Amino acid sequence: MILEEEVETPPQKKAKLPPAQPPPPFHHQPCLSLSSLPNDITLNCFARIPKSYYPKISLVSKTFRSLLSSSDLYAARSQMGTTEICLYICLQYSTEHFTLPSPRWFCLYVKPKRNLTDGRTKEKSSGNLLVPVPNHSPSPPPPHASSTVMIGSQIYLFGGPLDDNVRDYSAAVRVYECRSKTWRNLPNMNMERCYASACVHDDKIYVMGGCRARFEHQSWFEMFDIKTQTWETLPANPDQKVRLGCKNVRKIGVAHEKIYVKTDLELNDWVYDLKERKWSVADLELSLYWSNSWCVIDNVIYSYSFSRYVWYDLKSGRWKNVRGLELLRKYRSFSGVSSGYPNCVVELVNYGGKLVIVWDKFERRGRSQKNIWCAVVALRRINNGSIVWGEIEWFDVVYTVPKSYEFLHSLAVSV
Amino acid sequence: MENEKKMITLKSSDDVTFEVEEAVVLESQFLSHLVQDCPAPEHKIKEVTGKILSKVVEYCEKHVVVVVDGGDSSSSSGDDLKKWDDKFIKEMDLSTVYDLIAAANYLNIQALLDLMCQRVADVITACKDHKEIRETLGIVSDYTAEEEAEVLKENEWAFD
Repeated sequence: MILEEEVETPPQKKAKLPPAQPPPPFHHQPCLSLSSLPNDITLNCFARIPKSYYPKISLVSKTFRSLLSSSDLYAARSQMGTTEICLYICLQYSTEHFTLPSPRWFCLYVKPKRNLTDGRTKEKSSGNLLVPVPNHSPSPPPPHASSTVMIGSQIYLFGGPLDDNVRDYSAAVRVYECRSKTWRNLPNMNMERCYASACVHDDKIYVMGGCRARFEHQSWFEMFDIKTQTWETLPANPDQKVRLGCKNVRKIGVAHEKIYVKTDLELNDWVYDLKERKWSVADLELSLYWSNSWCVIDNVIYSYSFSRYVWYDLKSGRWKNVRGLELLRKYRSFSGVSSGYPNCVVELVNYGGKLVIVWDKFERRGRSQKNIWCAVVALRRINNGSIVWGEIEWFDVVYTVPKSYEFLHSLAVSV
Repeated sequence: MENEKKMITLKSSDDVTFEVEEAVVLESQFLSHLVQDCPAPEHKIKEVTGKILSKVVEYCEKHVVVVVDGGDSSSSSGDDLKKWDDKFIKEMDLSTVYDLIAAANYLNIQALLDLMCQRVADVITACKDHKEIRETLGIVSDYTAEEEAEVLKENEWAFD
């Protein structure tokens, strides 16, 4: 829009300046290039640009490239309120026969929006991809299977396992800052854990399970207050069977001051009331469609169960279909009919208030490879909140992997 | 009343003078310190040319914070100001933008600096590719051909 104007830039006006005088640091002379301005100015400009433009900008010059990978840039974005949600996905596979599979982090690259005047439909490629975490991007920590909680650009890791494939219990709490790619430690938990479950609510982090606690007074469940940086033991789950299995708690999440605790198959699911500090068994109806593919977005539980995307209406105590997602059925994973099936990957992620669905599906013929699909869904509650409408912003194949791959992690981090 | 309109004269590097209200000067952190420390009626700003200073003054006059009785501060209504800002930057060529950035940085006028940086950001996002960004922003690449090919390969996925 403004490009033509540059051509007729009249620098002559300033040519009047006395030529004998050496130019001071700030501009008696017209400053014809962005590179003549201090780096923090360039960072100020870059911080205003969506990250999806960064690959292009990094090609402009070395200076630009190094500025794009500086943690100052991400500090500026945060200060300016231009942070973006970045979806990291960790997949493990081997690229060649007879080599050990290795975990790799990817980040979802959403192409800059262009004018789609050619009437492209959603079924054609959107150009959105999983890409190996680029150099100029903040990167996630080395993948571990331990429990995580994301707060802004920080990933909190609770207990063990501490290293790949080493299953050990630990009370250590480590925080990884994605922007600066640095680690720091927090005070230890009261209990050593391995594969614990964690969630965050109101500046407090709740961690449970991942340990064997025969007695109720043991610190099976504890809370970290971010403000005071202290741990406090909370009432343990009353069911000894839940407490005795290290991986019995599959995943937890908070909605309306309650922690929803999804357990292993043959156990009861539980709900913990944060205000009253009390445990109760989850309603039968809640447990019915509550699969391992679930997440909480804006106090609503979403789950993928029996090939349907459903949400739990706390008011009526029922699961309801998320409307508007029928199109996705056509592309669904066939590796399992119900979720919880070992070969079926369907991940639901809170992507800054939107729902991201990641799933896999065999490529058409060969069956030696699987496609990783991804859908971004904007959610709207209508009719006094009794209906959830999902608007599919886009969905597409974002990557292709050997069928023996393993889906390790998905994290939505704001950077 | 202290609020009586006190006038201050600013003189650019090329001796163009601008007579402005004190409130206008206070938009600049640098100038407000200068005015406080040195109560002379005229201040020479050696680092800014008349052409640029006139833009700075124009901007500050528009954005000057009006102190109303209650002590609440409000400037011209947000929407109007936004429209004015849009027009202000649209009329400007990039070379002026750079000069204004340098001046706003020197005089410490954060809002003006931000406005100008947004303009540069918009120019960058409007460019088709890295070559166009170089051309438009006047940047000489310091990549060797091999290095550039390497970075291009690394970012291949981002391009059609």
